[in-house]
Amino acid sequence: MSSKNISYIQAITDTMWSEMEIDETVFVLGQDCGRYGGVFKATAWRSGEDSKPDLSKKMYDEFGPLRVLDAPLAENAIIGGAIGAALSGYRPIAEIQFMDFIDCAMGHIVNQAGTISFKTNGSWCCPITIRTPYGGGIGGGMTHSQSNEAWFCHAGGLVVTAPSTPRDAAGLLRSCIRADDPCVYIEHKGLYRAITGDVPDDPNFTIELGKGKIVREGSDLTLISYGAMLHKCLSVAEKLESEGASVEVIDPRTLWPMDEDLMINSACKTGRCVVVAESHAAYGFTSEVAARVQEGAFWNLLTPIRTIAGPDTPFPFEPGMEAAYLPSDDEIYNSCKRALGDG
Amino acid sequence: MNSKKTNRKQKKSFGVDQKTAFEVLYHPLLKARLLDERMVKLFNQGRFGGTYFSGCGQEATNVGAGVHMVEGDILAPSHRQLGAMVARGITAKRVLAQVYSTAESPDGAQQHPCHFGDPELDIVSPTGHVAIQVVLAAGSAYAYLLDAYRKGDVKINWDKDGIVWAGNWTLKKGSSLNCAFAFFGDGATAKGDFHESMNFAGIHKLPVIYMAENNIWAESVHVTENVPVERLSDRAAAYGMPGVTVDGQNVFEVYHAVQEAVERARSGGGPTLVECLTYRYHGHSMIDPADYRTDEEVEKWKKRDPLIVFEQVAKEDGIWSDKLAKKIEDKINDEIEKAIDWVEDESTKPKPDQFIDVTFRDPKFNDAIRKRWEKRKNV
Repeated sequence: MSSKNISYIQAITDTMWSEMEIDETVFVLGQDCGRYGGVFKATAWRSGEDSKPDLSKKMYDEFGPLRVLDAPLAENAIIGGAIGAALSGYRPIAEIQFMDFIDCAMGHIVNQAGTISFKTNGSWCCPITIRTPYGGGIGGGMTHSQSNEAWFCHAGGLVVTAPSTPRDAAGLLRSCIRADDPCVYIEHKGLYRAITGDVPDDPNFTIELGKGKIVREGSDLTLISYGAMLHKCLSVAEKLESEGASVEVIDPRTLWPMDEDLMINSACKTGRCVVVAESHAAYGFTSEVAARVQEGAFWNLLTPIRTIAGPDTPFPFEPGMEAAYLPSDDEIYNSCKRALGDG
Repeated sequence: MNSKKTNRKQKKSFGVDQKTAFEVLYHPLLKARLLDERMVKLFNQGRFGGTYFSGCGQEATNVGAGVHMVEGDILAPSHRQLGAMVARGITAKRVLAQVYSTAESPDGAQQHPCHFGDPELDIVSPTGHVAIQVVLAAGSAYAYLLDAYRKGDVKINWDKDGIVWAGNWTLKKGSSLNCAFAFFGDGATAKGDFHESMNFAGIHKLPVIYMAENNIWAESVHVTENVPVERLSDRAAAYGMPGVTVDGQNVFEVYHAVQEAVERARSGGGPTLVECLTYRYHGHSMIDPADYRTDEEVEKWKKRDPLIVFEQVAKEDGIWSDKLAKKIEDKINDEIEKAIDWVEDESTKPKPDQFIDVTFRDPKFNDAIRKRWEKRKNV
């Protein structure tokens, strides 16, 4: 099967487009999704032969205004509406323009979508996909930069995925759309046009939900992260390699349910583990992974598990403060060095 | 609008013949009442746990709407919709299986006694959020619009510049849409969810029947403390849809008002807000002594009980029959007694760990939760 070298956001658009062609119960709704093509242009143009956006036609023109719906500025209507449509036979893809706005619809996501199967004893399911951009590093300030994924992992009943590459963006999104469980699919907005990669053309290309990936093999230390931070971790791993340390890098891909065995087994092998995320430390991804790896790999660990996370504050705007907020390459590098120095 | 059927001056119970009146309306009205009163008693005797939300007093509102539902229509209830469910066809056995939290309950006993639905009848199990289901109904209604669109039955009428279209579509002659029925109380209309749902449905002319049960009290808060306008139906104007207020104790009046709304919705005319003036006899739940209201108020409403009003109207119109009423009552009592015997003697308890296996559809996710839960015993 051939593949295309496309950007992270292009992989998202192409996958939605292809799924809407295959399955007419798939439709998109969100603020500015229709004639504008989305604020980030995720619902605008699919890629042409040259892998660049084919500007001749938007998703809105191809599928019509009912299947690419310009929803009112109302998160409850978007998510609650998607849930109702899902119960009546559809597979809606709801876009929340920024993850920072998703809190407006928490009741619908947590207590409705996440409980449909549970409260009907498995008779009904809620096959919705909620796409939303998250993450900092783009000068978005307090309410355009947050990483609130832990809220949904904590809810019980939701699948939460966070692709880090164009290939994963495509494979995971297709799996989310086709899944019968409600999925929160978070897109790191800093990666949208910053990275490109090969994505299979196969209209049935999927990546299994709940499965992480060893993106770089190593034997001395396990480095776990996702999103923009994963790319920082990979460059730190390269640097350490040049200094003689072999670092294994793991991308969980699905944040919940979590592929804990993959991480535990790796930590057992290397004896050292550093977990990195830009989301809050308190009750967050890094704490959860550290707890599970500690439980599963304790007797094989040579050094305490280290976690690097966003400080438990709102997200600052001013560039210097934003840089201070986000974990840096140096912080990740130094933490790995300390771990490698122990034991 | 069909003026014939809504002409209230017409004789014979607003145009309903005896057979329809008794079979379609009286039967579910009485069944909801008898079943409800019985469950109040059973709860007070400690025969089932949790709590119970009685809908006694609100049956006409529920039945008058519920009987208009057809296959494929979704019912998004709040917690006092026994009447609508009975009108839709839920059996006493399934209701009792639910309140007794048995394995046979429609939701497998995962929810508490009065938060329940029935997937077989497209009744959505509600949550404790009193307006969330109102939004869900608009979403289902959007799905019904898409159903017709996919069949080629919806024509979009763009404006002259070809830019906007919202709500401007026409349904092919002869085509009919499913309807979503949302039930909610006066208190829920204070919530943002209510606004977002009505706004969305109003914009796109979605086939939703908004059944606002104004029973004066949102738990202990008076309607004037939740709503700044005199009539809940006044709210409809803000969403570009018709709003009507009807006597919620008169099943014939509700029946006709909802029929008009349903005909409009199914033919592509959009949503309607139907405010029903009604009353609940018991407290909000069984733990509520309802000491915030006067006995006089309760007695005043009981004089206009849905069953009394039914009999009055039917007598005025010359279609009342003691014999028919008795026959229906006997049949209902028989069904209820048999269902109670069954639920107390033959129903089964759910497995305590059943909930784990249905949290996700993908079994491997449930297995992972199970693994951790089982490990808990040996930590």
